[in-house]
Amino acid sequence: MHNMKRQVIPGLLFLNLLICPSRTLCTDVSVQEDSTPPTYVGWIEEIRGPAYVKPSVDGKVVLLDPVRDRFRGLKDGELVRCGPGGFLKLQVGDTTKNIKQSRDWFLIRLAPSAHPEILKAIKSYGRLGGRDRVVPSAILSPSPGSTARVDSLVFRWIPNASTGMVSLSLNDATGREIWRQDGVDGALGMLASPLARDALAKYRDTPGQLSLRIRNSALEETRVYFSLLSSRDEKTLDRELGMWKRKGETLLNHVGRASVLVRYGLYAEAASEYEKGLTLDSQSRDLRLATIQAESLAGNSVRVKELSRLP
Amino acid sequence: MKRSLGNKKKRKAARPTDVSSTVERPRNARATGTIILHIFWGLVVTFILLLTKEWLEVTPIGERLKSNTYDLLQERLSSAINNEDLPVVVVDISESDALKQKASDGGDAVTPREPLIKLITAIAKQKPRAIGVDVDFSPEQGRYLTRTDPEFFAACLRLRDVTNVPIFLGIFRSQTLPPDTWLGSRDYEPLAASIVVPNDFKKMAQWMQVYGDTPRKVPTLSAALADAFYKSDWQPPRLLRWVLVSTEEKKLAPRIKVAEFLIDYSPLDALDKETMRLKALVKQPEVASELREELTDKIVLIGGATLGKESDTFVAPNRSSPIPGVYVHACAAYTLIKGPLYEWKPTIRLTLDILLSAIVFGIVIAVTEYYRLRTDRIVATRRLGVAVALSIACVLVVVGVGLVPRTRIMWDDFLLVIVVVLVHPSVEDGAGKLWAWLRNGWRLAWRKLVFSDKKGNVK
Repeated sequence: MHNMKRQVIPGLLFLNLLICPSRTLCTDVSVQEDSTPPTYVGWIEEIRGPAYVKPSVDGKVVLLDPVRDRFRGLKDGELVRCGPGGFLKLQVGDTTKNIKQSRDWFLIRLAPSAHPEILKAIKSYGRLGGRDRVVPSAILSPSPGSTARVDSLVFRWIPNASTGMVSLSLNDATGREIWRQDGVDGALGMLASPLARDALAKYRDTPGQLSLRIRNSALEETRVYFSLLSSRDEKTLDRELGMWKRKGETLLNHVGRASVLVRYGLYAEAASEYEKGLTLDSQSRDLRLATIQAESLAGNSVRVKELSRLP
Repeated sequence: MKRSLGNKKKRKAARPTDVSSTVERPRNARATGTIILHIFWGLVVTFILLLTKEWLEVTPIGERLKSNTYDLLQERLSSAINNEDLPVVVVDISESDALKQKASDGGDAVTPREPLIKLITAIAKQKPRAIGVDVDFSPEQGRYLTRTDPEFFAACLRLRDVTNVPIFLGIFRSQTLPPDTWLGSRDYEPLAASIVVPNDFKKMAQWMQVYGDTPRKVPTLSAALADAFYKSDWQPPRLLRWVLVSTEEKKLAPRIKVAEFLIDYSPLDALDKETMRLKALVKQPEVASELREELTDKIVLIGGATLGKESDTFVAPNRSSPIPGVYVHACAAYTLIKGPLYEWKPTIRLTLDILLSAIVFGIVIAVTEYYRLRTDRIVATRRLGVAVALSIACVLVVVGVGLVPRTRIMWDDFLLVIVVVLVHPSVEDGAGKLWAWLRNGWRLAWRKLVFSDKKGNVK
């Protein structure tokens, strides 16, 4: 769907120029004076109420048309704003931004992102040694910023009976939807989909993050970004986990497996191993601390609070 | 001394076929040939033992031994620390309600900026050497975590300019991006310092360099803080400087490089005590003036330091419990200020291993040759070898462990070296006997296998 949008947008821009020379884009100074083709960093997904765009801080303000400017391309450095009752939904890079009524102009800027090889190197070198922000996410698996294994991926979220039916979708690094399932009961809190796994299998060795989006009937969306474990890493991981399996189902086995899983970013699985260890030794303070850490990384703030309250 | 002809046959019969045996050697063995043979065998055994040591080092047993040795060395460093002279303190914000992570306008739960700037301001007024905040302030996908972040960063810059106290704010997510994105703007770049902690708990990064369109080098928090402090000018003796290394650069990937140094964890207990004394400061920053003695001329690290309240915990040598990340940064800053820890360069490490083994058989050969022309008595080479090995082992223990606070050399495989030195005489002896058997004994063994004891008729 988004791929189509990417193809349609330049077409729409050209069409706009032909039909109505006085339209928004003709007032875009950079298009008229600059002979090099503009670089779009995103587009407008939705416009409600009065919304404005200007090409630069001192540029001319233009009112956006909810119909004709839908899927309008956004350039780096442009500014947008919403008037009273206005709403804009923008897609910039792989980020969705909702702009509501405000006096301030929102600057369109494509956030730089690190090369995947550099990110991987940092991840295997070390980790954050300080306080991080807590991303409130109703999605537990895959947790934000984690790594997931294709073959065993189960989608988990905080179940909520009042949510009603939800739809789940997976998008690749460019925002293109690669899988969707509608009509899932939000109260279930989990979904294991072979079709989703099949869709993800093609991206196993592709760099870049994917996103899982859960949208409820009120069109409220929760989204997490995650990576997939590559085939090569999966083999290495299985080998390392296999060494711990040989030792039997002991506390050491669970802790060993958990530490390996944390290293690979499989936080939910690591938390599960630590929890199994806790059932064998609930008095161990160090084990409890490790479990808190893993559950925190897995985004399970409810369980983190429970464990933190224990004496 | 004249040798009698009558003993010639005895000497011939007793000509040694092994080179390091405890049996008697004839006095008139060809001197040069014997020495060369001894040296050859000594080197062969040294080579075999060193290969075994290299293999052992990568096994779980060897790694465990090195880890325990490292703990022992850290323990020695801790015993020599002067608690009164601590240049670093940690201010713990874990138990402060005001500084607990709360939902922000950006959606994420972050450490509130307003009480944080109040705390930093109160501390800065007491003239510390520098202040570091162990929190990740990196923008997320180009957007500030809270709308007030630019104000907060600007306030830190103003405070720095007014009080002349350097202030550093932690980054992690944005550390590999261009400098103008570390804290969202080039203006705030001087505040940024990486709070990465390597998986190898013995080391800390001093800086990280990413190559690309805009090559950038980001300092770590401990290095940035230590730079603001007058550092010790302690250095190892001139003779040793060319064989030791304190900072090592390595490539993490083709486009990213780090410089690492060993962390001295000896001040951990002292840091913990000081953190307890500063608890009141977090709840009431106004009491900072009463804690002037604890803050003035010190490096002050602000972060979550209560185990169980923070999710960033790390293993430290000689500790039964993990420690929060802020203490790792504090110990790293302490190390850079007080004096770095050293390691032998890899080639020097190997040379030492060979040299120590060579000393064992070298002394045995020298003593044997010295007495060969002076007396009829036979040198007990094996006993002598064991005695020399034990002496070297004692010296290694004294140098490797006892003098660590002075030398600051972290020689974590010296126990394995001691094992190599101690077994050298026995292995050399065994190798000699094996060689003797291979040369002559196999014929006997073959005959015994092939022929029966009965004698047959010759036709």
